[in-house]
Amino acid sequence: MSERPPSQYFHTPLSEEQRERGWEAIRARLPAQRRQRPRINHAFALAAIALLVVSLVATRLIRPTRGAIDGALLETGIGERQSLELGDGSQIVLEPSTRLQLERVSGREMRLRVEAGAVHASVTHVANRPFTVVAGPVEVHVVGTKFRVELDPTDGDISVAVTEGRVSLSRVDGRPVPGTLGAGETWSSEAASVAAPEPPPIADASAGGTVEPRTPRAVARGPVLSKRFREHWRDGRYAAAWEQVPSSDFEAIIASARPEDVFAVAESARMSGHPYEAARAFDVFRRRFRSDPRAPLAALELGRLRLSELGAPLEAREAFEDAIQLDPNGAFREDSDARLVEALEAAGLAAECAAARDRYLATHPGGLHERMVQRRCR
Amino acid sequence: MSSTAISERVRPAPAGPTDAALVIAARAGEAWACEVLYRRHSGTAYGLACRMLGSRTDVEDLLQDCFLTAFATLDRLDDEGAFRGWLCGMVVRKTSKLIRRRSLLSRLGLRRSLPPPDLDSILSRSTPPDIAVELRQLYARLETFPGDLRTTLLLRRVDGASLEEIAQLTGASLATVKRRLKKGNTMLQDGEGGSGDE
Repeated sequence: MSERPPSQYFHTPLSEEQRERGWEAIRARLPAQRRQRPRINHAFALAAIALLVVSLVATRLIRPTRGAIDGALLETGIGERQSLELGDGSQIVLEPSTRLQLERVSGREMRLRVEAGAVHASVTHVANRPFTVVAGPVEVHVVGTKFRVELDPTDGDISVAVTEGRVSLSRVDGRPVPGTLGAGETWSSEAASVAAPEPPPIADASAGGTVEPRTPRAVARGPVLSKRFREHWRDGRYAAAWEQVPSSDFEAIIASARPEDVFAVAESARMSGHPYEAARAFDVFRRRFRSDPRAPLAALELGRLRLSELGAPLEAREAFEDAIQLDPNGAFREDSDARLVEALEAAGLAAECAAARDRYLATHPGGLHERMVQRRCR
Repeated sequence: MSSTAISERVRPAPAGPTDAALVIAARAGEAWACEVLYRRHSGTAYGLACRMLGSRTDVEDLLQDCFLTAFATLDRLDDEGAFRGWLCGMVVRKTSKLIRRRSLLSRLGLRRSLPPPDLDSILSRSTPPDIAVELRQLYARLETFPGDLRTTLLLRRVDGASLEEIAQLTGASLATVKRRLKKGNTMLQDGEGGSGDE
């Protein structure tokens, strides 16, 4: 055999068709959302947690200090439903595509946070032990009852429905809530954004000379952008602005900041040559603030970054289609239609590319991208 | 024999985010990062699986399985930049498992016969005739070898992998790799076969 490895004589290219077919199959089976935190995603682990809680409560070992499973994240996938029985007999059922964080699990306090999806809770009353379910800014305080809490992470909508007993509601942002809900009563909040109440936008703040958010300290959630970031951003010094965003706080900022700030962070990342962070921030923006007029632009920018900078044409396609859906007749429609053609070509989807090209040429005769689009999908 | 790792042997570093950045993004639930990792490494993984199996049969399914497993277990990858090597290890172990399963089913009479190596479908037309003959003979002989010996020998003789690299890809110790190579080479020289499983 030759000195060089014979593997060089193998010819096993993966065709574009095979590649697309493979990716579509993989994408369909990817978990809905993964997080960089302790996460538990299986019935076995749920059972293990339940057993641990049962054991700890039974033996009165639970202390009010941070517990072993505090912070654990329970997740259910598409079509998956899981139930968790706590040591006091309380039952929590996670509906499909739900993320529930066990913030505190102890004999003196139970505090669960619905990050997405819906949970049903049937809570056993235990004297002097607060049982709280949090969804966005809303806290549901339970005495002993059955209820359901849902949080839609895309627009922040929260709903609470009580089946038995009574719960009291409060909000950390001070906005009004009914106070208590009895059996058969429901409450929902449309667009109850976690970031509310909104401090003045960057432009207003700079004009008035006050640049820090005026949100009361008690209401402030997570890190905020510095005064220096806003100054650099206002003056178009994007790289300098970006340097003011601590990498350790990046995720927390885009998850909790007001729309103006998330958009500013995304743009400063993009303009300073940080495509991954820019894409991440634009993605969060379009998901958190879907009714914001900048949401279609965020989706368009996200698609362009995915296509040109990150090399993910199918994910770019998703973003361009979202941009179109967000504002079908808006200013970014033509751009989105044209970029969609590029993404489909880059993904090797010839037939869909040709259809998108013909659609663009028919919809935007004499459009800005006409010549570029005409050359595609050949 | 080349000492370059299989996982580093292909192409210069691609443009765009590094594998480490992509792995971190994929862990955070970014599907686009998974897509880029898939596009970047699916060709390498596909080729490696074809060489391990000696044909294209079942390779697409196996490839999907490997990537799904990889994306589901990214938290276990200590060095984010080592995604390609980690994935290649997964491909090697899954092909090895597939061969063992096929062999077992065949022996139990649940499968008519093992799919024969189909080297013509995966060998380049420019392969020198003597090399093609040698490779066909090697794959035909290895059909009757236990799965682990077959994998070790293929990595060594076809891919030119170093002992350390084989150990890393198969998850075996260096001593085990040496033992398997010695035993496999002896069997090849003696014209022995095996049960098809170890």
